[in-house]
Amino acid sequence: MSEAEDIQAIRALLERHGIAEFEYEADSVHLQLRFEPKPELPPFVEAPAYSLVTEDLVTLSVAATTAPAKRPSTTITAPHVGIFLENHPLEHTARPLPRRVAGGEIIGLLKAGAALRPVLAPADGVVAKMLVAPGTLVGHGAALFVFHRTGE
Amino acid sequence: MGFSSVLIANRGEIALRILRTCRDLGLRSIAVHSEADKHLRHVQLADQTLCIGPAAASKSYLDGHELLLAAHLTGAGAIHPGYGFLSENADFAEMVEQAGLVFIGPPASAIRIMGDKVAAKRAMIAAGVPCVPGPDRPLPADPAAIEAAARAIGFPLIIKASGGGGGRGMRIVLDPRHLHEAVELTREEAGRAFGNPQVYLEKFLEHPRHVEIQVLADGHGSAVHLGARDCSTQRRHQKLIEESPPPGIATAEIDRIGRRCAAACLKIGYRGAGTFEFLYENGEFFFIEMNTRVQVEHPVTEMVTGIDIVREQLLIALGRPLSFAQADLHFSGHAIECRVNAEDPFAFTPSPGTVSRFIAPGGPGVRVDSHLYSGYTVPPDYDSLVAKIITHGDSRVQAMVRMRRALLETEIAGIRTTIPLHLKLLDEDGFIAGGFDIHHLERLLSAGFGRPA
Repeated sequence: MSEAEDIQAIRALLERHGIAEFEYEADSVHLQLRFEPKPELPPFVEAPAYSLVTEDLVTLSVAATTAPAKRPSTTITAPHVGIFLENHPLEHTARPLPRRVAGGEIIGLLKAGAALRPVLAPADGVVAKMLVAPGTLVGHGAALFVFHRTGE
Repeated sequence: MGFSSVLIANRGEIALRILRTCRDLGLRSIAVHSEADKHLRHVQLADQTLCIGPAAASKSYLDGHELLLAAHLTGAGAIHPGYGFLSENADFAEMVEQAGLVFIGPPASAIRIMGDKVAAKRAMIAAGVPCVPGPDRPLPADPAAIEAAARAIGFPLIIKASGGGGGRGMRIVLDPRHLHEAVELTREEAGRAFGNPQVYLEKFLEHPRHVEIQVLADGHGSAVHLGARDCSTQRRHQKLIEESPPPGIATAEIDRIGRRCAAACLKIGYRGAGTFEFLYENGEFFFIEMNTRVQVEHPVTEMVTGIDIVREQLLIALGRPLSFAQADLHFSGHAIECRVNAEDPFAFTPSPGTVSRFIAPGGPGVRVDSHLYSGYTVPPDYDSLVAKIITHGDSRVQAMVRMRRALLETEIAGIRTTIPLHLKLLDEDGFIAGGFDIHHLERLLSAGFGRPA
């Protein structure tokens, strides 16, 4: 496959899974794909615009006209005070990001004394990035995750 | 006991006041605040801060569970409740005690007794503190018994809710024909507002002054009084100006009632700072309620005694005995406090907003307790008190002269404040004379005081 075909294939995968951002780094290449709403462009613009920044660094921006990443990212904030945990203390499997989640799914926990209070996904979407390190004491309203909503 | 850090469960000027004394004592300060309060001055100065909830007080400063979790998470050793919010909530004090932390205030049991106005009255009578005439028990259900109790007191009388206080849950009855209807209404309102429908009867004093005694008790068998404050400048039961000593009441008279209050503290197992509130009429004191916390107007007492009341609260909570006895206390001069509220000075409508410019007054005999700074935004969610200007002088006249100077020097731009009202009161004959009753300001306002001619 050519490089352009590779990128199109990745793009299709991103769209299918509702992933808004994609970053890939190897020995000689750095590829970054991001869906961005481009309201000023006519809706038929489909072709990915990409630019070669250096000979081994490719930055690519896709003008999306379809649903998945039309909504801007939001942050999920702490609903309570607590020590932020990404997993239940008894759960040891890593939960890589970005990750698709369903609305209402527990995406983190806030530990305060014996209490573990959940941080819930506000809607179906993609948890793109964690903004505080697990084990940090956070206050009410502290930004915890970058989130991209999908669906209605 | 012992602690090295204090969680300040309050906001505004009192939170800053507490933080300052924590620093004086080398205690680590922890500021917990609502989302609306992240720019408060004490939050900027605290050793540790934590946002505990949204602006609504019910979800932040009044949420005892969240406050306790915050105390646990920050490793706080003690909680200072300030005034208002949870400062007189016995259940909260008990939760703090049970969590193994120090509640900076009296034991929960003492708050509970004083929170029930009938129980408080009974405790005061037992301790020899004079009370307003009326039975020291709730009204029975029997209409004939209610009538008999009312006849024994005489009209006008006042029906009060056992669970009320601070001017809430009261109804005055001028005419015996309205007695039963008024009792029923007050019971119903009290049940709804305080979860306790019990009411009791008292003689209604028509022209009383509000005079209160500041006490400190150490939990080691020592209690003292710090003299009296006159808080008769009120509007709708909200104090606007306080002074110490109360004009025209003999020092010996204040000392006599003060010593009874101190003795009552020992009798009820009181610990910490507290205030016995009295109505004063025709040369007599009548106990109305006890405030089991530090009060807004505590600085006037500090100015005439030289005692830092918040420091004493913290030392008592640390388990130290009082370092002075009643005989060691000396009262010097006269102090006045004007409460500067973010309000229209005569219509009293709230005036929140951004303070574009704040310049505090200064000079001899002037103290300012305020969390204001240029650029600070007064949120609409809380009490409107933004500054307390306190002046001290050798005499009441000197304190008033200094107050006029301080108020004229103060610049608060961007919001309206009660400063114009205070300036006008300083020129008012009744205020200049002193010794007026608690209805004085309301009478002035209803006669058009402050309205452009």
